[in-house]
Amino acid sequence: MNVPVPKRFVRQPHKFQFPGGLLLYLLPLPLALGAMLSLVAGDLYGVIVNAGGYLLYATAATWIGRAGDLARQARLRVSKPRPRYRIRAAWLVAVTTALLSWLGAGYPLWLMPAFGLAALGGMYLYYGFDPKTAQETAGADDRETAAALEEAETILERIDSANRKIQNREFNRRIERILAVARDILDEIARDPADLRRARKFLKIYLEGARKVTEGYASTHRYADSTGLEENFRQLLETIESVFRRQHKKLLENDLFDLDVQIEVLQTRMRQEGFEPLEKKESTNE
Amino acid sequence: MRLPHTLKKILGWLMLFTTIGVVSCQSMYHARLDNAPKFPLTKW
Repeated sequence: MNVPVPKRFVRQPHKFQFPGGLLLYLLPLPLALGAMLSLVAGDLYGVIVNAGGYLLYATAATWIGRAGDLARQARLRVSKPRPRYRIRAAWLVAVTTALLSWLGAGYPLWLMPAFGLAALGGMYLYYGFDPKTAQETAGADDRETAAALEEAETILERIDSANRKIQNREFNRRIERILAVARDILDEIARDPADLRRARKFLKIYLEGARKVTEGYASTHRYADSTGLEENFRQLLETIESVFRRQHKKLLENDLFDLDVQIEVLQTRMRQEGFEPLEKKESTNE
Repeated sequence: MRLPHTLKKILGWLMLFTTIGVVSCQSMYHARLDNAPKFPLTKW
């Protein structure tokens, strides 16, 4: 008789995440060293310039970190005005770099603006500026974004709670990865509500599909110990994860040209696995 | 035209690395040499 063997369930600890403004802590490290050397040499001016410069960069780094946290926490209240940390940090870095080029590095005064502008440009390209408010982006309604994100967040919570019922470490990890990518996608939408229009299908079909699959497996796998079921579930999770990753990449690159093809692929897969197709619901909703 | 995300990141990183890196290293260099007169506001 085939007796199912209970598997030991150990939840993986969360992965360490680098702080948001890590680069701004690391790049000016020579300043910290310079401050110490100045201190040893008894040069008060050097201490003030170097330590002050490092502190200002560190402040900008903290702001960048806060901007990231805010994007995560504020997903559900997109309409509220938020402090524009990224722009503040960019200007702080620009001014600090400009001043240091003259006061610390000893470059001629006329080079100050060049350093400042280059640093500002670097901050814009690397970290980006704060998202525009929804009113500024054509067509996207603030409340609409907030409602869509809230709905998506509820689905993610349901997937997460279904994941807790699944006693298989491999699946748990896969689902956690899927959830992480999904949250990145939501962050991206919250950052730029114009993405909502292009990600609507993702929110309605992909996420709902992932929830159905996960909840379905969570409720049946304890009663049906079948390797076939596991294999199907594994393949579905693989498909979902790769589609989610591609969706995130496309959102970042603002290119959703072949998204419909991916949606078709996922729907066909789900239909093959016996999950109800979602097009009908989709068409009644719109 | 919008730059691809990765290209933006690389360009931004290079610009930050060049500006902040150069300025910080030069400041440290001056501190290391203890050549205070090179600092423009040092005579106070």
